[in-house]
Amino acid sequence: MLKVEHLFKSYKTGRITYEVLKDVCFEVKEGEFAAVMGASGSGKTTMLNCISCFHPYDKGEITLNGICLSRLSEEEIAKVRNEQLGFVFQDFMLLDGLTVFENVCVPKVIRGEDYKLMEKKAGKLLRLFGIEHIADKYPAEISGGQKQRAAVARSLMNDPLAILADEPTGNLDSRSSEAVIQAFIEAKKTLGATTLMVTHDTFSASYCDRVIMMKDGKVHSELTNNGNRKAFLEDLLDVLRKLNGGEKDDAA
Amino acid sequence: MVVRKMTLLNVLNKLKKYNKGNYKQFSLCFSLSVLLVSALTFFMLSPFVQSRLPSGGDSRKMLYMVYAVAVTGCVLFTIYAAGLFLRFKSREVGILMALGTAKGRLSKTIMKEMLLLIGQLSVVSIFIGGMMAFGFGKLYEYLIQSAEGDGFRLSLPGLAGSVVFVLTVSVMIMGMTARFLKRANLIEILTEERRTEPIKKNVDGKYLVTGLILIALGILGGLIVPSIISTIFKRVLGSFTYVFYILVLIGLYKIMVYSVAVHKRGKNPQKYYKNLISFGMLKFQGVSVVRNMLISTLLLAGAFFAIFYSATNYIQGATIAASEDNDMSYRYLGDADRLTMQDVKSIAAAYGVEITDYREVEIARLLGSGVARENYDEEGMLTEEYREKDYYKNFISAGMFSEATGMEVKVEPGTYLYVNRRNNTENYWFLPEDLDMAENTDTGIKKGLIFAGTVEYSSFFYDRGQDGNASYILNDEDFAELKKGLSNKFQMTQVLFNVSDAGDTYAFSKELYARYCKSVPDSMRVMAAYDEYREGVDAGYDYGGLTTLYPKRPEIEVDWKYSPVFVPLLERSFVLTYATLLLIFVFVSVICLVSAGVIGYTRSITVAVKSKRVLMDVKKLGAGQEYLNRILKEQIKKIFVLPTAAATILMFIYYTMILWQNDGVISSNEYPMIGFNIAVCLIVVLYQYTLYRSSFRKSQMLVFDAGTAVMKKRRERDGERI
Repeated sequence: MLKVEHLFKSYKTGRITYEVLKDVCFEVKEGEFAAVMGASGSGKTTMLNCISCFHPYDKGEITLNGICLSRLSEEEIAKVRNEQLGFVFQDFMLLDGLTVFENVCVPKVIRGEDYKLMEKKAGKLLRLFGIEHIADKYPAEISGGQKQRAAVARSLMNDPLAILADEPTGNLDSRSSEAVIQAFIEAKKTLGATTLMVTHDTFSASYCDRVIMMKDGKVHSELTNNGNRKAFLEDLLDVLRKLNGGEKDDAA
Repeated sequence: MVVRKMTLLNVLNKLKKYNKGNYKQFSLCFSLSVLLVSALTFFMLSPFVQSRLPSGGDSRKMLYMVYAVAVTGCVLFTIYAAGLFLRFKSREVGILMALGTAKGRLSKTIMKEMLLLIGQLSVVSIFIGGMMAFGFGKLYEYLIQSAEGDGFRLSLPGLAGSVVFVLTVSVMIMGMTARFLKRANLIEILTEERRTEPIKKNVDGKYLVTGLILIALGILGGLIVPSIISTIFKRVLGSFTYVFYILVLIGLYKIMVYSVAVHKRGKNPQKYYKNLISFGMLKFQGVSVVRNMLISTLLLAGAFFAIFYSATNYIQGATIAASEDNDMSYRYLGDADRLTMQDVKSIAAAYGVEITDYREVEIARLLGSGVARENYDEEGMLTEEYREKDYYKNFISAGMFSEATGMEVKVEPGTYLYVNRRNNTENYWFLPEDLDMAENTDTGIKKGLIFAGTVEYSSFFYDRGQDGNASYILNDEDFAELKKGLSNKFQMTQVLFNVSDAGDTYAFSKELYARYCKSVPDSMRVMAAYDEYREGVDAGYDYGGLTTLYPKRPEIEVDWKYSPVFVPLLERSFVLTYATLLLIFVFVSVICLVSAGVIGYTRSITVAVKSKRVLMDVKKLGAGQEYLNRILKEQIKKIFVLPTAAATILMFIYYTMILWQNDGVISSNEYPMIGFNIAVCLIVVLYQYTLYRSSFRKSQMLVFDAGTAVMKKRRERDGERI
């Protein structure tokens, strides 16, 4: 489904070149809920931005359902972002002037789709994530958790091949974080959604099928959830301790 | 390494360099405003222009009214620019305060900085404004070819006026700055730049309906009802009716709020969703957008009024010249030493002009009766007071009139015809049938007379031909009977003739005007409203002074009962007669248009800056460039479309109604005015469209080019963090 192969990415500041991603390889399978974890500066957000086509990359290839993203034009990239990818951001990125219902509709509004199908789909997603009662509220009138659930609903509006979530629980308290993670799980179960989530939050990551650990711009290790969430959480914490040189996991 | 002393002032100076775009925008708006107002004030208050403005009357009143509109426009848009400037400055002020800078110290430094900036800009702008007025004045002087030797010069009152404006605006800006710095809530200051101003009220369709109703009520109460009441019931409602125009303003505000705040799914949901994002974005800046739209509408309305009014004056002037029945017409009282036909012919010969159809018409000035409609009773009803002895009026015999004009008129004994100016509209202050008695005040002979109709002829009077300037045709016998024994001072000779196309008719007319002015005795140097009888009976009579004549400057409109009418002068100089008014009105309209333009432009930039983040978010959600352009365009379009449409439609309808209200019909000589007004509307719409295009282009550059730059910066920053 989503393949990242030998990805290299660097930034130049003056004469100094910083290598951010160094030969990153991994794959996310259809219907999988995967997470990327790592310390600050490990390159996880840069990698997500490359997949999102927000940043170009130096070498390697990212393929989405067989389509090489690096070969697409600006307009084709916009189309991929709109139709084949769904986004969930740390700061929600809901449009303040639109109601929750209207915000959820936005991806289809951009696509210029028929309003009847759009309204039907938006209603269904709002019900799925238990936020239909706030459909007519504006972002300023709802909680952070509700905002992020609305953002998850929005990301699913065009039935994307994959949802890319950048620290979706970063701005939320633990209760709201759990509600948002449950929304991702619900999307996977009900709609078969594929999700790649970048996170610092070990607790949230413990709900994923697989966690990719990054360190210094490389994939350090991968952990697979065998169905026991608590054991998986322990494993994650162990790996993180090792990653951080034995220090206490600040993300836990 | 250069070591700089890091004082607060140095820090602020460094920030000033970094934010030079913000300073540039404020400086431009402030300077433009001061420059325009000082140029206009210098020009208007110059003795050269003042002496050429018609004394009293509607024109001067309208001129000052429009001047007030222009100055208000400039004040509003300067205040707006200052608000914007402070908003952009809020973040750095907030950070400095958060880091522990004492508010008093910061306020003192910023106030000092503002005062210095305003002071420097004011001095430069007043100087340039003065130079502009001087250049404009000299051009005007050249155009009217003044022969009086009083060249255009700048005056102290002009400077004083400009300084007063600067002081007023400066006090307002300093007050705003002080209020801004006084605020206690630090978070509020920090987030001021990003503050959204959504319209919080529940706005629905009722807003639109009440808005339209209020506008209709305003026009009805301010214009139509007073007009109907004064026509039918002859009752003047007084100036309180102007209060109704406030309803128009409120109505406009409501419609604008509706247009920004309400976006309903309605009958076309597809369209609703198509514009969903742009509506949502604009709605969140709703309050300031609506406020701006309203100011723009008022300024555009001011511009329209200034242009329409000056055009009406101009066209009316042209119409008067065209409606004269004789090329040349002037009058002498019986006891005055007059220019003879030979005198006139010899002057004409010097300019190669041939005199044709020279006629002298005998006129008797008899004391006529009339109805005075000058006062109102306690209930505001116009009172009618019949006066057997009203004014000395002009009487001609039917035979003499027929002979002089070539129009065969018959008047039965005991009746009279009233001579009306061509295309003159009737009004209720003076009615032709008011006269029923005429008296020879030398012999005491009186005669009862009955109104028998009206004859149109334009060369027998000055102005509209009412009261003491009214002319009547009597039966030959009645005329002879009344004229018998009339002393010279109550006899008058009306001289009428035409001029050939050959020769310099303009120079001849100018010379004849000068000679005529010099030849008239003091008894003829009286105001248009002067009347010997009324002077004797009215207490505190105001019209007894001598009129100042300008023999070499026929273009000056003088309040003179015996003002001659020379068509070549009118034709060649009516443009110049109205030039002062025209120039100032055009100047004022330019100021209003520029102010409206600057407000529209800066608001577009603000909308663009505020939309940048959201547009980038929408881009991340997969919107292509075309789609993003459309969202931005929709928002900026709204800022221009509604004010332009509202001002154009309202002012066009309003002015057309004023033309209609004058006499209850739109007469044929008013058609060119309506045509001209339509052309003006189209030009202003085109101007606004051009501004909209350039505002959109600039916004596009700002959002998308800057957006790319921001992305680049972010990448570099991310790189640095790794």
